[in-house]
Amino acid sequence: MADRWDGLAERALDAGVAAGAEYVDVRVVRSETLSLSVKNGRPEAVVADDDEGLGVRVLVDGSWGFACTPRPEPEAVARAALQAVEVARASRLVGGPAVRLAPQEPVQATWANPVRRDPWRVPLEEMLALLATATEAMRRVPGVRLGEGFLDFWRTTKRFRSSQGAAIGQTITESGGGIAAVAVRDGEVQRRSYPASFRGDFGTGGYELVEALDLAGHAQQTAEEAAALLAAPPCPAAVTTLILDGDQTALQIHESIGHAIEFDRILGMEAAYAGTSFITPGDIGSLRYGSEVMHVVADATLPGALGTFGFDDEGVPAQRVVIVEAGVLRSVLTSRETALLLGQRSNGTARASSWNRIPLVRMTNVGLQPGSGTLEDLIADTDEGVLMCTNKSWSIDDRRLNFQFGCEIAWEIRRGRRGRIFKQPVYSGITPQFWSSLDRVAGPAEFRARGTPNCGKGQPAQVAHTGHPAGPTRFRRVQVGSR
Amino acid sequence: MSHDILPDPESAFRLLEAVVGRSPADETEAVLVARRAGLTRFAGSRIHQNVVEEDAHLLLRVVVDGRVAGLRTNRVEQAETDEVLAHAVAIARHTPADPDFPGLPGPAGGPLVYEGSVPATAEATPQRRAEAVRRFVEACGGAPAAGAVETGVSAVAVANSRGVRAYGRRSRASLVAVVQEEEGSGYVQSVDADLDRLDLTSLGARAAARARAARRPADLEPGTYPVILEPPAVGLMLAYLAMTTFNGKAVLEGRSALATRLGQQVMDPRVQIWDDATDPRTIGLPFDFEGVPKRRLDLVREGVAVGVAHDSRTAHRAGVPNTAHALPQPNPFGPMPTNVLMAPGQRSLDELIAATERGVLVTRLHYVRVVHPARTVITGMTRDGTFLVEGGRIVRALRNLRFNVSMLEVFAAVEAVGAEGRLVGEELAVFAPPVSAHRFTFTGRTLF
Repeated sequence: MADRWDGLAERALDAGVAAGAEYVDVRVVRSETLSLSVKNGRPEAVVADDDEGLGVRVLVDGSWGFACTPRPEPEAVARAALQAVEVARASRLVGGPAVRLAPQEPVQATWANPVRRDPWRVPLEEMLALLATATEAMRRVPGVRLGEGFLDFWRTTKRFRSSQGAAIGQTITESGGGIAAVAVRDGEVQRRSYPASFRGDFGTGGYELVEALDLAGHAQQTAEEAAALLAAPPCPAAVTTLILDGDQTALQIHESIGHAIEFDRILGMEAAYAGTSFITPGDIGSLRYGSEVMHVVADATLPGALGTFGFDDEGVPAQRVVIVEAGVLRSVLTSRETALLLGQRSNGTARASSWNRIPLVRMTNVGLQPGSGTLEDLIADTDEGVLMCTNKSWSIDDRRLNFQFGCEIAWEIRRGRRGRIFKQPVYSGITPQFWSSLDRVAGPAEFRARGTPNCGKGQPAQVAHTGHPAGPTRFRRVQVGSR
Repeated sequence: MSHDILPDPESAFRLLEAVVGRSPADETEAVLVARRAGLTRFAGSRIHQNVVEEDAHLLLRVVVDGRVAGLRTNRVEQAETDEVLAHAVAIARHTPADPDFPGLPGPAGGPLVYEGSVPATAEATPQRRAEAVRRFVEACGGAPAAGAVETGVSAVAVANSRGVRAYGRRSRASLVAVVQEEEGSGYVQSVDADLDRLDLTSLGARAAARARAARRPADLEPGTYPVILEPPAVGLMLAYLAMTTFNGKAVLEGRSALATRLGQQVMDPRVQIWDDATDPRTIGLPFDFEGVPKRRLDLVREGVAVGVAHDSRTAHRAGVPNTAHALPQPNPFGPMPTNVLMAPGQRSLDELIAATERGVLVTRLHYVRVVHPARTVITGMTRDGTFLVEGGRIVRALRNLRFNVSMLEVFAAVEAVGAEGRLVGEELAVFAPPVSAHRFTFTGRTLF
């Protein structure tokens, strides 16, 4: 963190307390990003972003207020603290029960994730050459019009101070990328991505994560599959066995588990915007979420995953929380405010997208626990069904029940073997029924945490980075088809 | 620059001209985007989140030997711009040349200055927003309400080394709310440049009435039905068409449905769609992020696709005039219309309902995603008020339904366009009327 913010968090903290707040926390955040987009060998956008500021959150008479400033000046941060107190007092005009916070021992600590190769020290030429090589290779495959490549890097440096004595510094470096081939013919457009859609896969770490993806080595197959999809038949409508690859399993977890277990949603705090949840507070501990083979953990301590950190934005240490055990809902994601309503302590999931946003309950690394076998074992063990890979579209209702997810490609499965490919595959279901039809989860060899860098929530809008340990999964009696 | 995070035109141009003047690049574009806003959020009829924010970003695009790089920072003080410029130029020097880059746009005339800010809305206090919430909640008559009241002001200023100068400032106030009555919910949304023009009392009463009407919803067998779509539903489809179909880059790359159908009849002849940031029924700035002045752009005229949005880069590639729809540059997404309007018709919403023998009235669409961009197929759910219409009247509330439709096919199946157009859209503001269409395909249902 630049020295120009030194002492300013404490100044804001003191100003908030002096103005009458019973609780104050201050975050100073600097976010550096580097984003590279290359198409058909040519750079489309090379953009660096550098953003910093201070946010101050206060509780006054049991009501929240928040204000912020990008200016590293003593007067500006003191003014932000006073504004936050004024905002909190206005909240009392339409007040309800006073907000109280679950207890939390104040922590003084620093944390940073390991980085083997700092992305900001990798020559731009090297990164752009990698994307140029991969995208040109895809473009050379007949039928492919566009070869696209992406790399994104984020470095977030945070300081957290609270009036309860917490003082935490963190630096989180995140890296990743991906490639996609777009095939076009006679008004038909098909897209194939590697290793995941929507700019790729991401984790906490440095450029070594990009090197491990071997984007150039996967360009040819990615492009050939895109071209093959142009002539593929649509996925036939059927109720059948469905195998999802790890990428689509991660999306399924994110949408139909991760958001549904956010306790602020369950309490109705997001009712007018993103929605609520089919889960009620009384369901915790007893709801049958899925089958006996379904075990879900939210683990913010998982090395290398995109939802990994040392402390959340309320100063609560990162934790590993059992969410679903043998198909039964055991816990939900909480903050200090929401946990107290369950008579619990926070399990450390309150995160803000930056200095100018308040912490919300966000997913950490919400994922399945591995079972056994490989994807090929799951296929060999399936008499008839469909394998779907790589998310293409996703939609779910505002209580996280009815969903329809589309994938880039599907393979027919007959007598334990992959058959022809299908284009435009989709499947749909109702969350607890769908997870109750889960009968196999692949083993650790095919498991890894997949990163989702575009998780939206809240007003004003916030984007969070989440991780989802996942591998291939198999579900019975699923409605599949094509759109 | 003045101490205010939102500079006046003179201060903004002074800052940007200093940046452009000190740049060692061959060409330089500097854009200042500043914003001050407050958002008061309520749930369970009490304020549970309440924030104010202010920020200003400098967006630089530099060109060195045909190599282009972008840099964004909120460290906009003059003392830091040399460091920022040096960083941007260093990135450009390490980037291969972009053969599609046509050079920065030149000026169309003198500096363009636009003032669209209502001071009382731009400076609205937390107390004013809380009072607005209280009036709305009281008008709901005790039904639990959740939503947000937002007020704010934003400014955009553009200057480049070819002499472009543009500045615009505008205010914005909005209410979005859902009111719950047992298993029914009612939705209202209103946006305006002036907070005083949000009719909070009638919005609260309407939301509560809609929630009462939506109680005890019944199942409807999925299938293809006539529909009446209220403005929020129509507006969201128009926003998705703007992003995916009227995007000049998507057309050039063959990803848009209009790649092969520009000039053809793609919608019912009663449908007129255009983009016009200067129309008083929308909230916009009269120039784009390259500082190029905007004018009306017809997109669909009597059902015929007649235009798509371009920025300087895509216009150069397509060999057509720039329509001034650049997003912040460099931008791989491409240009898109940002102030879409659809012409209202003559008949009221009640008349559209009265003319429907059997169909579904849809208040709002939720979680819309594009399934097949080239065919404009989207999926999503209905939300906060779905009703069965029989014999020309609403007969019961329905549980929410999943739909899969081609947006072009829905607009091709239009029966009538309603008269009550309004500005809708929580993300992209669209002026949309209600619409009835004789075919809309519901493929599934949920449990509430």
